[in-house]
Amino acid sequence: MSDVAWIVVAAVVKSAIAIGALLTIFAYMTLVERRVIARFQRRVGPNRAGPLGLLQPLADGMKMAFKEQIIPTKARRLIFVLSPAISVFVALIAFAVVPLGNTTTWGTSPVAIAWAPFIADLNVGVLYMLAISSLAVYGIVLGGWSSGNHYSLLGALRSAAQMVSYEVSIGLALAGVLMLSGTLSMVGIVHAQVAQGIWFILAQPLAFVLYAIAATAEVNRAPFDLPEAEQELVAGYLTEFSGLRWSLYQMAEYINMITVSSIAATLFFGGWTLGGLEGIPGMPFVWYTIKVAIFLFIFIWVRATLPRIRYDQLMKVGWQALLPLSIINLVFTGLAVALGWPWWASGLFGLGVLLIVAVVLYNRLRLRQAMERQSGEAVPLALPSSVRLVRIAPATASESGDGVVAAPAAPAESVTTS
Amino acid sequence: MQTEERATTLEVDESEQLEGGARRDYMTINMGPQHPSTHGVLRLILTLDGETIVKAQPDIGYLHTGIEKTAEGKSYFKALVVTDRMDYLAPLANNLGYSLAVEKLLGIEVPERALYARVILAELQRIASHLVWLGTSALDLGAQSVFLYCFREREIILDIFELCSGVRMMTSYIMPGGLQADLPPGFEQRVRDFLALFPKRLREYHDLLTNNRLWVDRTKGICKLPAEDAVRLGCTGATLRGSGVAYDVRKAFPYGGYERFDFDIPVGANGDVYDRYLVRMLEMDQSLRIIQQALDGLPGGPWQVDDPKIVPPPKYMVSSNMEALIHHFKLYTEGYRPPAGEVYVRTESPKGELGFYMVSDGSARPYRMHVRAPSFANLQALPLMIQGAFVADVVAAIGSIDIVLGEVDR
Repeated sequence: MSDVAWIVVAAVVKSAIAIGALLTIFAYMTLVERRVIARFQRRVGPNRAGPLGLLQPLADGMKMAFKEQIIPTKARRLIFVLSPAISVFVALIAFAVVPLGNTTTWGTSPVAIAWAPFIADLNVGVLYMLAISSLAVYGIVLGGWSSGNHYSLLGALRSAAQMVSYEVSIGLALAGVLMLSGTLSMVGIVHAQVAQGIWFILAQPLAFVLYAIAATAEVNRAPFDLPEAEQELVAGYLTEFSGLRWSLYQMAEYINMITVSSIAATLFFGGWTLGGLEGIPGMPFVWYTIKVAIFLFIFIWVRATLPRIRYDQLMKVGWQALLPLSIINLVFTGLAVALGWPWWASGLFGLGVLLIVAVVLYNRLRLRQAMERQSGEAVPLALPSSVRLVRIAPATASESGDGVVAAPAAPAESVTTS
Repeated sequence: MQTEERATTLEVDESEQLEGGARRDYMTINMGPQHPSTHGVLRLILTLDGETIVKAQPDIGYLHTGIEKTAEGKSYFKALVVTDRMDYLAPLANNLGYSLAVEKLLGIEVPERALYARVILAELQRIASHLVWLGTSALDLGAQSVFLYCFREREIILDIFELCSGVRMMTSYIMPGGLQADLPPGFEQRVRDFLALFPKRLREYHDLLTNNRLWVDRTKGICKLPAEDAVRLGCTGATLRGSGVAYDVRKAFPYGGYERFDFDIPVGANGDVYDRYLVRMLEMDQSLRIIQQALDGLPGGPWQVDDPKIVPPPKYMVSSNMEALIHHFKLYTEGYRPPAGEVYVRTESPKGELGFYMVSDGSARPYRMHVRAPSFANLQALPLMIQGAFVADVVAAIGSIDIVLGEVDR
């Protein structure tokens, strides 16, 4: 066979493996998430199906597959059926450029290179990733709109606004890394980190934090899970979907989580490398997995802890906080690169900005809740000034009803406070 | 043709002509009665401009149980049981209100031990109810772990109730004339254990939410209810106190021995979701104080009035004493007959002012039992609160007024 044929075979096999692996990881990710959140919440979590609940994803899959797939009468059928597929498709192909290991070293022929542990090493890898993840919004918007349900529509619109806003910050945050590495290729970026002897998190801490926040919003995870906010919009764009179509959306969400975690690991944490230990055969994949797993765990952790942000506040954070900060970071990194400053210049700058932001936020919270407690007994806790304890002398005459101390119409000022 | 029709009927339900030929379209959504965060079967008809609420109309009645009417067909002794089902998150508070009303009709006073026990139980019930409120309202805003932590503590309280009455929720333990049974041995210790544990847990909730930036953003300044409107609409409880009006029935019209205990009333200032939240959080502290005092002063002695016409005789006497058997029979078949007249008794239930208006015509059954349900009155403030707010704020507002639909529709 010709080289081209071998390359095609390699690509197909690797794609098949990647898709199979992603779907399996998705299935077990749901299990892990449920178990971990259960631990956070002092529950046990699903542990009935198989040892440790390991067969739970299988059971869930079976249930979903046999569920009736309802198409509402008001729905636009074709789009309704297609949009979950769009979501999953986009989520899957975004993974194509994620490198799980180095380029192959056992040959220089095109065939040998084709078997490297990534599907493609595009020279515009990061750009490709950004472009594809922007497409993800179509699956959600079309799905929500075609459902013919108001809740779905609201969820879809939220999602559109959210993804468009955060896309910008992601792009600008990543641009700092790209300047340092001088390449858009994912593999090239890891090589650049090895060559410079640092992980880019050290040089770009601000960009990483911005990316982490924006990526969480990008994949619609808590606390930015507004499009499917179950307490407000029932299930957002998912409301009318059932059975396999519903699980396709879930699949897309989890695969997107894996993808953004992979980007973070690759761009900021040296991808498959770990201080030279990647030389051991088979280990690059392990390091990569560990890094991604840590990010996925943080996703779950955050979900178990934080309340949901409101739609307009989300927009405000995106445009008024993340965007300016990422531009500042971009400008400074540009300066540093142009003037040939060492990596720690931009690193220190990023840390400084983060520190300033943290101090400002902390002080604002303190100011808003300047404490002045009248009665200091009960909880030894800093309380906002708006709520105070009122000491009312118990009325002497009861029953008859003339012992009114604070008549309902009396405003608060007339009440004596201790 | 059909597609066009769909397109116009779906997204736009109402529109308004603006000057300059522009048009503003509104969308109507039905929030509820089946909705995850309407706390039961409340239906809200929301007219939206984007995500902003233009008009909100609560529609109640989906949980109509006819409890008031049912009570008219039962003897006083038995109508107690239906009151449990009104505010099903605070059955003992309902029992207390009902019992006080009937006792006032009968003109009897319960013994000291019953008085103190009732206060302890009512305050435990207040904490349990507030825990459900805290958990669900946090869940509504997406903080899901708090929900399960709250239910963990509520479980302890329900265990105490089970210890007393054998039932976890619909206890009917407080009854006209005292308590169904004496406080069981071990009760005091269990409550003291809870008192020792709970402040730490309360602190955890504060840590999770009170100064959490996201939580503050979601609640501070949201869905304000001015004090005048709160008074005008008849709001009571934390909904009223959050707006800055220091009105608590336990202080304003002391009942059931509350005048003996030293406690404060938390009062807000802004009338927003955050103040209502904090008021309830601090109320739990105060409840702990009351329980502590009541527990320290809990006297021994009888726990029921010494009147076999009103409270059933002990079971062992029924099988050995002719008088007791007759009393038992008469009480369960016919009940007692309070003198004709009418009373209104107000209590501070966890939700607000719970009033029982009872009319007796001298027969064994109430001629009329009207319940002034705090949730019902508080719910009226909802459209005002959420005017101009976002859809996401609606659930925050519903959570913050802490309604129980069983009580709204009784």
